[in-house]
Amino acid sequence: MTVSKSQRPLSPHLQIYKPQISSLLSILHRLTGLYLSLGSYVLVLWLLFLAFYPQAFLGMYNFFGSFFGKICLISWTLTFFYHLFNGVRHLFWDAGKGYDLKTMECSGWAVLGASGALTVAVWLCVFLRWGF
Amino acid sequence: MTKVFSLKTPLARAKGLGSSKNGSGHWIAQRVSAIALACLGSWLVWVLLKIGGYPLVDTVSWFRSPLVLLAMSLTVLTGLYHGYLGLQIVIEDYVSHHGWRIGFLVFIKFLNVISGGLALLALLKLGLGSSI
Repeated sequence: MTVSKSQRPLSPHLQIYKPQISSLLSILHRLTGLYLSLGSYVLVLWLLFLAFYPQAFLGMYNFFGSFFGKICLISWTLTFFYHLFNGVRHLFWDAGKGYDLKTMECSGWAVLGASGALTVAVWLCVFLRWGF
Repeated sequence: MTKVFSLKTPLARAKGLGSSKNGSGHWIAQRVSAIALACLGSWLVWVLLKIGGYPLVDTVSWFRSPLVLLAMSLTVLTGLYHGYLGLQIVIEDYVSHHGWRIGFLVFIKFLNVISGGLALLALLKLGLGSSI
Protein backbone atom coordinates (compact mmCIF):
# COMPACT_ATOMS: atom_id res chain seq x y z
CA MET A 1 0.00 0.00 0.00
CA THR A 2 1.46 3.33 -1.03
CA VAL A 3 -0.88 6.07 0.11
CA SER A 4 1.15 9.23 0.37
CA LYS A 5 0.08 11.61 3.09
CA SER A 6 -0.01 14.63 0.77
CA GLN A 7 -2.64 13.07 -1.51
CA ARG A 8 -5.21 12.80 1.21
CA PRO A 9 -7.74 15.64 1.41
CA LEU A 10 -7.18 18.07 4.25
CA SER A 11 -9.96 19.70 6.17
CA PRO A 12 -9.81 23.51 6.04
CA HIS A 13 -7.93 24.83 9.02
CA LEU A 14 -7.34 28.04 10.96
CA GLN A 15 -5.84 30.15 8.17
CA ILE A 16 -8.83 29.52 5.87
CA TYR A 17 -11.52 30.91 8.13
CA LYS A 18 -12.35 34.51 8.89
CA PRO A 19 -11.56 35.21 12.56
CA GLN A 20 -14.74 35.19 14.64
CA ILE A 21 -15.37 35.60 18.32
CA SER A 22 -16.17 31.89 18.66
CA SER A 23 -12.88 30.71 17.18
CA LEU A 24 -10.77 33.48 18.73
CA LEU A 25 -12.01 32.71 22.24
CA SER A 26 -11.42 29.01 21.70
CA ILE A 27 -7.82 29.67 20.68
CA LEU A 28 -7.45 32.06 23.62
CA HIS A 29 -8.60 29.28 25.97
CA ARG A 30 -5.66 27.13 24.91
CA LEU A 31 -3.16 29.98 24.97
CA THR A 32 -4.25 31.10 28.43
CA GLY A 33 -4.04 27.48 29.56
CA LEU A 34 -0.44 27.30 28.34
CA TYR A 35 0.41 30.57 30.05
CA LEU A 36 -1.21 29.42 33.30
CA SER A 37 0.79 26.18 33.14
CA LEU A 38 3.90 28.31 33.03
CA GLY A 39 2.49 30.14 36.05
CA SER A 40 2.10 26.87 37.96
CA TYR A 41 5.84 26.22 37.63
CA VAL A 42 6.58 29.75 38.84
CA LEU A 43 4.29 29.10 41.82
CA VAL A 44 6.26 25.93 42.63
CA LEU A 45 9.51 27.90 42.37
CA TRP A 46 8.06 30.55 44.69
CA LEU A 47 7.25 27.89 47.32
CA LEU A 48 10.68 26.28 46.94
CA PHE A 49 12.48 29.60 47.32
CA LEU A 50 10.29 30.50 50.28
CA ALA A 51 11.14 27.23 52.04
CA PHE A 52 14.79 26.70 51.11
CA TYR A 53 16.38 29.72 49.40
CA PRO A 54 15.58 33.03 51.13
CA GLN A 55 18.02 34.91 48.86
CA ALA A 56 16.28 33.66 45.73
CA PHE A 57 12.92 34.46 47.33
CA LEU A 58 14.03 38.06 47.77
CA GLY A 59 15.16 38.17 44.15
CA MET A 60 11.76 36.92 43.05
CA TYR A 61 10.01 39.35 45.40
CA ASN A 62 11.92 42.25 43.89
CA PHE A 63 11.33 41.05 40.35
CA PHE A 64 7.56 40.85 40.85
CA GLY A 65 7.65 44.28 42.46
CA SER A 66 9.25 45.74 39.34
CA PHE A 67 7.28 47.14 36.42
CA PHE A 68 7.85 44.10 34.23
CA GLY A 69 7.07 41.78 37.14
CA LYS A 70 3.76 43.53 37.72
CA ILE A 71 2.92 43.19 34.03
CA CYS A 72 3.49 39.42 34.43
CA LEU A 73 1.27 39.23 37.51
CA ILE A 74 -1.50 41.31 35.94
CA SER A 75 -1.44 39.18 32.79
CA TRP A 76 -1.59 36.03 34.93
CA THR A 77 -4.60 37.42 36.77
CA LEU A 78 -6.33 38.25 33.50
CA THR A 79 -5.56 34.87 31.93
CA PHE A 80 -6.68 33.09 35.11
CA PHE A 81 -10.07 34.80 35.14
CA TYR A 82 -10.46 34.34 31.40
CA HIS A 83 -9.65 30.62 31.58
CA LEU A 84 -11.94 30.24 34.61
CA PHE A 85 -14.97 31.96 33.07
CA ASN A 86 -14.49 30.44 29.64
CA GLY A 87 -14.10 27.09 31.38
CA VAL A 88 -17.51 27.56 32.98
CA ARG A 89 -18.82 28.31 29.48
CA HIS A 90 -17.32 25.01 28.33
CA LEU A 91 -19.03 23.18 31.20
CA PHE A 92 -22.38 24.58 30.07
CA TRP A 93 -21.69 23.38 26.54
CA ASP A 94 -20.78 19.95 27.94
CA ALA A 95 -24.23 19.91 29.51
CA GLY A 96 -25.68 20.73 26.07
CA LYS A 97 -26.66 24.28 26.94
CA GLY A 98 -25.85 27.62 25.31
CA TYR A 99 -25.03 26.34 21.83
CA ASP A 100 -27.12 28.67 19.69
CA LEU A 101 -25.09 31.40 18.00
CA LYS A 102 -26.69 34.32 19.78
CA THR A 103 -26.15 32.85 23.27
CA MET A 104 -22.63 31.82 22.33
CA GLU A 105 -21.70 35.33 21.22
CA CYS A 106 -23.29 36.89 24.30
CA SER A 107 -21.57 34.49 26.69
CA GLY A 108 -18.28 35.08 24.88
CA TRP A 109 -18.47 38.84 25.33
CA ALA A 110 -19.63 38.33 28.92
CA VAL A 111 -16.54 36.20 29.62
CA LEU A 112 -14.26 38.87 28.15
CA GLY A 113 -16.01 41.63 30.10
CA ALA A 114 -16.08 39.75 33.41
CA SER A 115 -12.43 38.71 33.26
CA GLY A 116 -11.38 42.26 32.39
CA ALA A 117 -13.52 43.78 35.13
CA LEU A 118 -12.33 41.35 37.82
CA THR A 119 -8.70 41.87 36.86
CA VAL A 120 -9.14 45.62 37.18
CA ALA A 121 -10.89 45.15 40.54
CA VAL A 122 -8.18 42.85 41.91
CA TRP A 123 -5.36 45.14 40.86
CA LEU A 124 -7.13 48.23 42.16
CA CYS A 125 -7.18 46.46 45.54
CA VAL A 126 -3.48 45.62 45.22
CA PHE A 127 -2.48 49.15 44.29
CA LEU A 128 -4.68 50.74 46.94
CA ARG A 129 -3.18 48.47 49.60
CA TRP A 130 0.48 48.38 48.64
CA GLY A 131 0.84 51.44 46.38
CA PHE A 132 2.24 51.30 42.86
CA MET B 1 -2.29 -8.89 8.71
CA THR B 2 0.65 -9.10 11.06
CA LYS B 3 -0.08 -9.79 14.66
CA VAL B 4 0.93 -6.84 16.83
CA PHE B 5 2.53 -7.73 20.11
CA SER B 6 0.78 -6.04 23.00
CA LEU B 7 1.39 -6.01 26.73
CA LYS B 8 -2.32 -5.55 27.36
CA THR B 9 -4.50 -8.43 28.50
CA PRO B 10 -7.22 -9.48 26.04
CA LEU B 11 -9.87 -7.97 28.33
CA ALA B 12 -8.08 -4.62 28.52
CA ARG B 13 -7.79 -4.62 24.73
CA ALA B 14 -11.45 -5.46 24.25
CA LYS B 15 -12.49 -2.73 26.66
CA GLY B 16 -10.65 -0.14 24.54
CA LEU B 17 -12.45 -1.07 21.33
CA GLY B 18 -15.06 1.69 21.27
CA SER B 19 -15.23 4.25 18.48
CA SER B 20 -12.68 6.48 20.13
CA LYS B 21 -10.68 3.68 21.87
CA ASN B 22 -10.05 5.84 24.91
CA GLY B 23 -10.45 9.38 26.13
CA SER B 24 -13.58 9.49 28.25
CA GLY B 25 -11.49 9.09 31.41
CA HIS B 26 -9.26 11.98 30.34
CA TRP B 27 -12.28 14.10 29.42
CA ILE B 28 -13.93 13.53 32.82
CA ALA B 29 -10.70 14.07 34.77
CA GLN B 30 -10.16 17.37 32.98
CA ARG B 31 -13.61 18.62 33.93
CA VAL B 32 -13.54 17.37 37.51
CA SER B 33 -10.14 18.97 38.12
CA ALA B 34 -11.48 22.15 36.45
CA ILE B 35 -14.36 22.31 38.93
CA ALA B 36 -11.96 21.77 41.84
CA LEU B 37 -9.69 24.49 40.47
CA ALA B 38 -12.53 26.99 40.15
CA CYS B 39 -12.56 27.00 43.97
CA LEU B 40 -8.89 26.33 44.72
CA GLY B 41 -7.61 28.71 42.05
CA SER B 42 -9.84 31.55 43.22
CA TRP B 43 -8.60 30.90 46.74
CA LEU B 44 -5.02 31.11 45.45
CA VAL B 45 -5.66 34.47 43.77
CA TRP B 46 -7.13 35.75 47.02
CA VAL B 47 -4.14 34.39 49.00
CA LEU B 48 -1.57 35.96 46.69
CA LEU B 49 -3.50 39.21 46.86
CA LYS B 50 -3.36 39.02 50.65
CA ILE B 51 0.20 37.84 51.29
CA GLY B 52 1.99 38.62 48.02
CA GLY B 53 3.43 41.82 49.44
CA TYR B 54 4.46 40.36 52.82
CA PRO B 55 8.15 40.25 53.65
CA LEU B 56 9.79 36.80 53.88
CA VAL B 57 9.33 36.25 57.62
CA ASP B 58 5.61 37.03 57.56
CA THR B 59 5.06 34.87 54.46
CA VAL B 60 6.81 31.92 56.16
CA SER B 61 4.78 32.28 59.34
CA TRP B 62 1.56 32.60 57.33
CA PHE B 63 2.25 29.10 55.97
CA ARG B 64 2.51 27.53 59.44
CA SER B 65 -1.09 26.41 59.56
CA PRO B 66 -2.29 22.88 58.73
CA LEU B 67 -5.31 24.17 56.81
CA VAL B 68 -3.20 26.51 54.69
CA LEU B 69 -0.75 23.70 53.93
CA LEU B 70 -3.56 21.34 52.99
CA ALA B 71 -5.28 23.89 50.75
CA MET B 72 -2.02 24.95 49.13
CA SER B 73 -0.89 21.38 48.39
CA LEU B 74 -4.29 20.53 46.91
CA THR B 75 -4.21 23.71 44.82
CA VAL B 76 -0.72 23.14 43.43
CA LEU B 77 -1.27 19.42 42.78
CA THR B 78 -4.68 19.90 41.14
CA GLY B 79 -3.28 22.77 39.09
CA LEU B 80 -0.33 20.71 37.86
CA TYR B 81 -2.64 17.77 37.12
CA HIS B 82 -5.10 19.91 35.15
CA GLY B 83 -2.15 21.58 33.42
CA TYR B 84 -0.75 18.18 32.48
CA LEU B 85 -4.08 17.08 30.98
CA GLY B 86 -4.29 20.29 28.95
CA LEU B 87 -0.68 20.22 27.75
CA GLN B 88 -1.19 16.58 26.76
CA ILE B 89 -4.06 17.54 24.44
CA VAL B 90 -2.11 20.43 22.93
CA ILE B 91 0.85 18.14 22.22
CA GLU B 92 -1.38 15.42 20.76
CA ASP B 93 -3.07 17.99 18.52
CA TYR B 94 -0.05 19.86 17.22
CA VAL B 95 2.97 17.55 17.38
CA SER B 96 2.45 15.09 14.54
CA HIS B 97 5.91 13.48 14.49
CA HIS B 98 5.55 10.30 16.54
CA GLY B 99 8.94 10.45 18.25
CA TRP B 100 8.68 14.11 19.22
CA ARG B 101 5.14 13.57 20.44
CA ILE B 102 6.12 10.72 22.77
CA GLY B 103 9.16 12.73 23.88
CA PHE B 104 7.12 15.82 24.73
CA LEU B 105 4.44 13.77 26.48
CA VAL B 106 6.98 12.00 28.66
CA PHE B 107 8.79 15.28 29.32
CA ILE B 108 5.74 17.15 30.60
CA LYS B 109 4.65 14.15 32.65
CA PHE B 110 8.04 14.13 34.38
CA LEU B 111 8.06 17.91 34.67
CA ASN B 112 4.65 18.09 36.33
CA VAL B 113 5.18 15.12 38.64
CA ILE B 114 8.57 16.47 39.75
CA SER B 115 7.10 19.95 40.22
CA GLY B 116 4.37 18.46 42.40
CA GLY B 117 6.95 16.60 44.47
CA LEU B 118 9.06 19.72 44.92
CA ALA B 119 6.02 21.76 45.95
CA LEU B 120 5.09 19.15 48.57
CA LEU B 121 8.67 19.13 49.84
CA ALA B 122 8.64 22.92 50.18
CA LEU B 123 5.28 22.89 51.96
CA LEU B 124 6.50 20.15 54.30
CA LYS B 125 9.50 22.28 55.18
CA LEU B 126 7.32 25.35 55.70
CA GLY B 127 4.99 23.35 57.94
CA LEU B 128 7.70 21.73 60.03
CA GLY B 129 9.85 24.84 60.32
CA SER B 130 13.56 24.41 60.90
CA SER B 131 13.28 20.78 62.01
CA ILE B 132 14.04 19.42 58.53
